[in-house]
Amino acid sequence: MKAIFCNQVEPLLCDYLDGLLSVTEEAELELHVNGCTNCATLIADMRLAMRYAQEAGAVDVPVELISRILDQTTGQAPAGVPAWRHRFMGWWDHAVSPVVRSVLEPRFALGMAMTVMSVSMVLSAAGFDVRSLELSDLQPGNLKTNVTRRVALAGANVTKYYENLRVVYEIQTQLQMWQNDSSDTAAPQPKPDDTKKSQPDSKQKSAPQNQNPPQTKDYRWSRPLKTTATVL
Amino acid sequence: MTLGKAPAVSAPWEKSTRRKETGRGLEPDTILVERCLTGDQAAWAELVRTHTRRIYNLCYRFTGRTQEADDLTQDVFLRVYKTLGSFQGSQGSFTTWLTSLTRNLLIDHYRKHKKERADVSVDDEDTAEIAETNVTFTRPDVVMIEQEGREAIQAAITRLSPDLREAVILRDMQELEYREISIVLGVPEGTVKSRINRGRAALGQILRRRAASSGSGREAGI
Repeated sequence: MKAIFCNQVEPLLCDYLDGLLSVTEEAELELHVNGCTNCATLIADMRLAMRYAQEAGAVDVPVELISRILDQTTGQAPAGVPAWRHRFMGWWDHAVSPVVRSVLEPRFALGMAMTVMSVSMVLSAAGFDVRSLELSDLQPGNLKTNVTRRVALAGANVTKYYENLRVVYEIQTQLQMWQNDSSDTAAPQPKPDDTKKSQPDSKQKSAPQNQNPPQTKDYRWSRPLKTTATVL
Repeated sequence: MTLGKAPAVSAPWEKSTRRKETGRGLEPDTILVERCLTGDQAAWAELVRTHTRRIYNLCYRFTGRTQEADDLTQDVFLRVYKTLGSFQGSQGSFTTWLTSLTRNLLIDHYRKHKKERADVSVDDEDTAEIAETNVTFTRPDVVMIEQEGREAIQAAITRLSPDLREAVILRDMQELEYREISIVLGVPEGTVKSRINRGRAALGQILRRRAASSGSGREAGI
């Protein structure tokens, strides 16, 4: 039996691990390995790798893989697969599956959720109640009427809300006061003669103005004046 | 992958002028191939069913990803379907021819996606470094459970360089003979054995380091 060195071990390893070395060669190799830590570690590592590789086993093939291969090559259903099922799977793979896959993506689901939420918020703000919806409401005439009514109501609500804002209210009141003051200051004082002559007419004309304020903005903003004065 | 369907009865290899008599002494696969060459669709289906599992596993072990393995397996059989007429039984078994074709596709795929992947392959220098830094031998196989072992071996295989990876997979997982691997890889048997040795050693070192780190992590309460 001859002694071997580390550089002579490597060519023998495959056959050694396969158990194909002669008895003499195997004894010589083991004699070296027993006294060489590096070679012992090397062989232990290789045995470990072989064991893990063999224990890893085979992974399962996807169920439809063979069908897809045959479909892409011959276009025929594999043996044991009914023709209707093959046609259905082909239709599914080419037409439905891509759509389903895209729908199931989180991005699409999030977009749909945001859309539904936005629509529901708009409908809710417009006072639309889905639960009270009836089939007759979907007829074109009723639909148009309802939409027009909803728009008008929404516009009225917005106008009312705007006009009831305290800031707007105060500003418009102040503007009205300034307008009244400036009109009083700019009005010419009537002469005594003219006053006499025109007194009956002015009484006739001015009386209704003082007694019955016009049903215009002036009258509407005359009430807030009292309220503002009270507040102040 | 979606490709246009081939006509149901007009396979590319049906027009091949090469016709052999099917008879005794031929491998079952070779007989199937001969039947395919005569236009027998059932033989083609049988051929696909026989080899899909092995090819899928080869692709999965090489790439480490099921989706890529799925696509590559389809690509392999599409190419086989188009080039079946070029198979010559006298130059080797159908399994070797099919494995060689698969290996070429895998290498093409690896080169195409090389830049996309993190460069974590273990080449010879890495292996030497690992050997220097780990001189103590432990028994991680006692520590690891079976599932962890499957994940560990796949993770370790994908860290090998393509040359070492394919050699180890073909030998230890596909259980091909050295001569067959030599034909598939197109290198001498000595080179095949050398690559297998280096691949096994690198794989064992990666597994040992992984087991040692997980073992120390457990001991430290991680």
